[in-house]
Amino acid sequence: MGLFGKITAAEAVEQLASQEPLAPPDPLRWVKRLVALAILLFGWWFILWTYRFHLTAPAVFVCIGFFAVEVAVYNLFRTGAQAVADEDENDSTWGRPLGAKGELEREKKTLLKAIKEAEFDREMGKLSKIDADEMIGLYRARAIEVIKELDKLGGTAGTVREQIEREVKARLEIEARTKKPVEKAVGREAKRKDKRVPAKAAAAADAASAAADEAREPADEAKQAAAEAQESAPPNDVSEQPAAKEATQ
Amino acid sequence: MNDSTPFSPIALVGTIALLAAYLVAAWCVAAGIAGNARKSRRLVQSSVYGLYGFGALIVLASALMIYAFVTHDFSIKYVAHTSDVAMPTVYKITSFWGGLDGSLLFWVLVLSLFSTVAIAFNAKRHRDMIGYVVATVMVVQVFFISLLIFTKNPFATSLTAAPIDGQGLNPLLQNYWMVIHPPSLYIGFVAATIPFSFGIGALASGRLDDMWIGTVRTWMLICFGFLGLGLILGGRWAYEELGWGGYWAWDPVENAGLMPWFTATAFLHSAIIQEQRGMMKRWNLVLVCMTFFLTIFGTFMTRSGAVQSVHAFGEDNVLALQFIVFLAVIGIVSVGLIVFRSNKLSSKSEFESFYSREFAFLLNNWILLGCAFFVLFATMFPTISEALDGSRVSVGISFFNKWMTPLGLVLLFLAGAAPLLAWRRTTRERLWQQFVIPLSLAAATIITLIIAFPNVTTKTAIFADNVALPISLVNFGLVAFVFGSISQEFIRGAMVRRRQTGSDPFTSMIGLVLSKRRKYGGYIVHLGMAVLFVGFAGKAYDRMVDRTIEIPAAMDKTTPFDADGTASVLPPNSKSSFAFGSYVFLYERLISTSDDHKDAVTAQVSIWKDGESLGVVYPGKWDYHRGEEATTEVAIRVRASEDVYVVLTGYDLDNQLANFRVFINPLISWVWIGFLVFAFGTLVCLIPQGVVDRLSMRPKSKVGRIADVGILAAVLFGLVAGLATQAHAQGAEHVTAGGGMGADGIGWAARNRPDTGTSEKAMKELLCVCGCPRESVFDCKCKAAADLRGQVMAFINERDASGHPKFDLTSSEGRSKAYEAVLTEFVSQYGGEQVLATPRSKFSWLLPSLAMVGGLGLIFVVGRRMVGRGKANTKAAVAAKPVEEDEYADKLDDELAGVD
Repeated sequence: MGLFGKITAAEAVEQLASQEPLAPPDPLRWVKRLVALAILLFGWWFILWTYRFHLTAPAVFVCIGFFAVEVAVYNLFRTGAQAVADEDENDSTWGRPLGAKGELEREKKTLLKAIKEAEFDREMGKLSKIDADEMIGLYRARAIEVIKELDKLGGTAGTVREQIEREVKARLEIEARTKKPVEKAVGREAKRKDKRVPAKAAAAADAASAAADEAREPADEAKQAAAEAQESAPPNDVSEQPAAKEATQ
Repeated sequence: MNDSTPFSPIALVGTIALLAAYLVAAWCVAAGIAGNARKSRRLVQSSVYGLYGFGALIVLASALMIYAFVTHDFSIKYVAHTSDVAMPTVYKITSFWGGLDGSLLFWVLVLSLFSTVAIAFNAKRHRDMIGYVVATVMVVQVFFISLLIFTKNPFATSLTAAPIDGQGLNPLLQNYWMVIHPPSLYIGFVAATIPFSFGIGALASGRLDDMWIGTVRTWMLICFGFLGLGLILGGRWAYEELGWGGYWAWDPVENAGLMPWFTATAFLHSAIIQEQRGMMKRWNLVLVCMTFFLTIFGTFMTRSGAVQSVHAFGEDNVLALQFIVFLAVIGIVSVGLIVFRSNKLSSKSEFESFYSREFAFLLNNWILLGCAFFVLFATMFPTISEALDGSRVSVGISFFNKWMTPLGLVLLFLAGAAPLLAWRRTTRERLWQQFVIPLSLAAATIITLIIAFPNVTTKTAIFADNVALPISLVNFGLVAFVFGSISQEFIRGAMVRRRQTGSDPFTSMIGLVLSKRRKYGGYIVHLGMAVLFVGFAGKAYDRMVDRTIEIPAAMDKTTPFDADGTASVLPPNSKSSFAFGSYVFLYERLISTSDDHKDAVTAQVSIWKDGESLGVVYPGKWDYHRGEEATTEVAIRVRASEDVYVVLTGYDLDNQLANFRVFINPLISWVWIGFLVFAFGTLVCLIPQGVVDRLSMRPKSKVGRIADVGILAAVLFGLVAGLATQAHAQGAEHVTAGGGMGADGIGWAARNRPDTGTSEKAMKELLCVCGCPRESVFDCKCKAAADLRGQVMAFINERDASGHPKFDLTSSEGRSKAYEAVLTEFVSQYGGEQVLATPRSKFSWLLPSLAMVGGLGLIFVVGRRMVGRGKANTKAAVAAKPVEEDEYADKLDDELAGVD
């Protein structure tokens, strides 16, 4: 148990759901943002110049008003643009509720908390052992039912144990893929050394760089595989995220 | 356009911004509903962007409004009515919400900012209902903005030439607390719209699992926190500015904020039951809708003239009608949707015992709801009575106190008892183990207080005049019980955590609080509530005296003065001094000064105790050039045990005579301290999970952890300390010796003070007829009150033809007869019961009594059935419990390992 609270599987699923954008990202969004910022800064400069750079109450509220005008124009343009945009093929699937899986995840989270709370109450002396065991037993029974139902629906985050297993597997794959090219590159370099004994330092550096590049390619593939694995099964615990990152490096 | 008709480009652009916002809001309603109903991403997105654009337009309109204030654009009527050139800039800005029109625009502004934040954070997570949420928020906005455009346009210009100067803001509102009190209440009111919108969104979309409640809970906590802040700041303003020695008078405007606070508190408790036990889904939605309904109802009360108040906005029938229609729409839509989705709102489990935390929460919900309805009933009673039989009655402070005091004490008991109970059921043996320490502490406190302070048993009337109990003593006992209970929870919890984690006691305690923030933050709020009740208990022991001093010490020539102009020694038997309680007050001099805004007269008074000077205070009266009457500037000497509160009630500049009213208010500081604890607890509950995750992900070195927790604690303490610092900021303004003012009544407050207990009781029950806000003739400082006091005493001391007293004041029967006779005499003299603080109508006590008895009966009858069903279900479930399969048991254990 960590010092503080950790994200549970249900929260991870929720987070994953929340990562899906409400609208597809605009490829020119950064350009637009920079233009908007430039207009804002120029407008403010102009207003302050009009007030001879005296930051008085009227100047401040005119600046706020100018900012509001810009935000209003930008958002009203987006409002209209979205309203007249073509129907997206994914619209019908997008609007679908998270469904039974989300509700089951919620119920599981509630049950897990209830079990922990009952254990805590027992430890604090609020509940007798008999009462606590009976209560926990009932919660466990229902939690197992929920887990079974979730398994039937598929695609759950999985338990910590399953995540660790997946992670170990991913690490081993990465290791296997990165090990071979590095070994090959090192072997090739050794052969070259044998052939040309007074090897130049620059050539050696080039070779090492090439070897590293060769090694990076499969590492990238492995990273992608690990990312896919992670996407299909988001981590149950925040503290495991750094470990997952480590595995992909 | 006529030459004399003023043209204001600010007014033109502001009105255009409001019109554009109205159209955008209407679009958002249509697009949001259609978007979610048709599952159209683009329409929902359009409504969300529209909401952002709407917010920007309202920010523009508000910026223009404030710009008009700070640049003195008096062609705009609202600016001319609520500000003037000489006002300080800060009050010009706050004039924005100082009048009705601007306060409505401010409401729309705060709601648009809140809804922008709420939608930006939740649009993706709640995508299947966010269109409905946007539509609900925007329906509320359409209502308010239509009021602004069609009824109360703050940008309306004068038809004639613009005045050279404005009329100025009400002097009572030119006060530090008034700068922050209204925004706090507004934020509290407006925050209730967000939970309501998510509730309606959940009902409309049919997504009634527990997901929405997480989002709603945070916003309800914000609503609860800001309403609490607004109410306490209002109390502080009344205490410092109105000069009647108290902080809470059950004024309708304050009641309007208190009612939704009760229901928001009820929701925060019942939401925990839904999360823990999957129960009370329907009830939670009812509370969310009711909280919002009450915020709008409160706004209706104070802006339509439905009730009379010290700071209501006046009568407006058109506005009243619009609010009534909107309230009807809210009621019909909320009830309709809850009934429509009723089948999806059934509970997953039942109550299993009366001795369970969920049942304590249910009881707490009923009491809180009872409080909300009682306050609503008592506030509206004069209006209801007038509508029913045409007679206007009054409801005074004592009537509220008689009913709310016992309800408050039950809540205080539950604040200590509920944390000691376990979910589902607590056995008798465990019950005893949990309650023994807190109960012992309560008993020890009561016994100690009785021995050390015999007057602690002072009795207070509850429910009726003839039911008097030592309420304050019970209050102190319950406070000790809550302290014992919450301390026990913290200590035992930290011990358990220490066993589980093996960390040191400090880390265990911090880890416990941060990992269960809502639970332990809530306990801190309970502690704050207990401290508040210490302050409330002090009310039973407050004392007041009126004195007229004819010669100040500076003119008396017998008092030696220091170089700084203050008395160095208290001369014995000085004509300029008077004793009250354990203090002696020396009236030193009267100072008269003027500035651009006001003339001020300030008395210099030194306070002495046991021959030692406690300092000098400067009570005064300020006569604003644009105000109708002088404001009272009280002087408060804060002490740990009590406040010494000095008011200058009258003076004569020619002969330097001064009238003083002095209050000794025991324990009152604990009200403000209690609120700071309360605010700290609320902030702990609001710490985001992200902050805690960040702390737990940092390197686990002890120093690092302590540093992290230290930073977090510093931020929380900083916020609370900032609030505390502000609590003293006003002092400087009041103690500065000000100058000059016009004539005022001299010595009325000190005249005809009660000579017997019966006179005093009758004077406290009779309301003054001078037009003051529901002050009794005992408290009111005007001439009319002095005359009425004289009449009361004359009537009670009247003698018959044989020269014998008409009433035998030596017997309790005679005193009671005299009291009743004087009240009857005044009712007949003034042609109605409006002169009485407690209405005599049967309905005034029958309805609350029936509601209380009926509610308690209902909760126990229904509770017994529910508990019976719950026990049977549990029995069946235990009997049918399957054997755990190893594979799934392991999975569950793994899942549990990740839960803190």
